[in-house]
Amino acid sequence: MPAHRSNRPLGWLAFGTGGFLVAFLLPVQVFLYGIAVPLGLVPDPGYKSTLELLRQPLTRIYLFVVLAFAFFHAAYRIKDTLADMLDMRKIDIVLAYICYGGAVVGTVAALWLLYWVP
Amino acid sequence: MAETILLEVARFLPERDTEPSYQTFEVPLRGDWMILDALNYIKDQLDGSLGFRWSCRMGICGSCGMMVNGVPKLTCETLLSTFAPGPVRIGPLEHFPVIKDLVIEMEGFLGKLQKVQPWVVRKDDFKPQREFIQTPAQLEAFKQYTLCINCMLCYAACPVFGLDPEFTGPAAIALAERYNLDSRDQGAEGRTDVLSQHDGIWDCTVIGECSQVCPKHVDPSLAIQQYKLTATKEWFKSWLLPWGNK
Amino acid sequence: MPQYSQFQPKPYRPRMSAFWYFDRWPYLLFVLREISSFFVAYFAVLVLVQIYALSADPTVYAAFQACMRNPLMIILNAVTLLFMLLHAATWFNLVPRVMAREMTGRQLSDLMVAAPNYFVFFGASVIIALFILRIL
Ligand code: FES
Repeated sequence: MPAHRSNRPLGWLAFGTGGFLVAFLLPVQVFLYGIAVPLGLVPDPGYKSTLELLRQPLTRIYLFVVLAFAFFHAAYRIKDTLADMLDMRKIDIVLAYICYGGAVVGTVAALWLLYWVP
Repeated sequence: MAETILLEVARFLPERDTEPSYQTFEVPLRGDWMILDALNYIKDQLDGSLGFRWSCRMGICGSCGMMVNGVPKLTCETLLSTFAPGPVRIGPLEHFPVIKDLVIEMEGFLGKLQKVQPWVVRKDDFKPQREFIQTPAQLEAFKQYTLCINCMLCYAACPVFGLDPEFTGPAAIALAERYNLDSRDQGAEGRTDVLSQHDGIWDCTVIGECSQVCPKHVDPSLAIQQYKLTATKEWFKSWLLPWGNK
Repeated sequence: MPQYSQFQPKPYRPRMSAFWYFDRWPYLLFVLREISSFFVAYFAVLVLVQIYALSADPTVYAAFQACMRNPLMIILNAVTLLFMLLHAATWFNLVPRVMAREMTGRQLSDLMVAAPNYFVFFGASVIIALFILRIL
């Protein structure tokens, strides 16, 4: 395949963009929703207020972009991790289909869920 | 004899052995000795059949690379005394086929090197009447990469090369970048096909040890990632401007 | 590779151990960094579940929150946070270096390219936290 038709650059660009978004934006979300609120370290904003936040179009666009890129970032890296750790380079194509398939499913699910927020 | 230190040296005789084993030698522990001096002591005084490569003894020919306690090093500039009280384990560079004892087969590397055309390529009939003017900034762009001495330590540090022997590898890609970034060179396009393929830059998973072990402080890892950026830009250009040169 | 004649012995070809990443600390750190991707994927799915619970009704969301209070979930999320911070730190130190040449035309010092990322990280984290806690 001629080099400029290989689609590695596309996956790599999504990986890189996702890497930035995940690094900058997700840790605080993990900390608050995953640790601080359940442990009661911070006051729980509650169902109503959180749903109101989710209703904002900007919140939904933000979440969609972050989640979609996070999925594609993870897909690229999971594929490489399996190739390196388990020496699976020979079935690279199969891994790519599974990982990117998962990322597409996740992205479509995010789109669907965020579109149907009441 | 004053203080001594134990050296466990990999031995492999292809006519006799199926795989390498380690043989222990006791050598004087001298403050001014490099590992290479200790190996030469073994060869001169204890066992003349030990095989290893060296030439310059000053870290510039790149032929004395070996694994020292599992880390690739130029043995002519690695002090023996830093490993006291020992023992020190000396092996051939990792991931390469072993010809004898500490001598590795480097044909594969040389082939890759040739493929990336590490020389100034001109499309035109280049017959300058005077020096080619290069500004300090233009020199700075590639200077770091000219320092590579082809010692292959970066390959020995690269697990990806161990997993996939076809990987073009750190030094070859860094040298390709050295010429791509040179203002005299016009061969970047010709190198793209080798670099942008699966066994080229895209095989690299950014472990970064190549840059850590380089005795000349070349940064092959950075070269590879920067070339990924270049290749990505080229890729988009080829989609947006499909009528451009293919 | 050169051709070996019949009487010329063949070289020994080493094979990489399946657990090569335990050989040296830098390799282990690399593998841990890569494993962060599994946790990124896990957390993205968790956010999807949270959005679903929020969209459904208060009882479903209450069940979701009760599940999040499970000690095992808190431990899992703490591990997720650690892996994400590892990803962030390695990313901030490495990736901007790659881009610096493209953006400024020359190589900047490592600190110069890494430091701004940490500022952006803290700034963004504070703003997002204010939104999540509904202070903003
Ligand atoms: S002997 Fe020349 S580099 Fe070590």
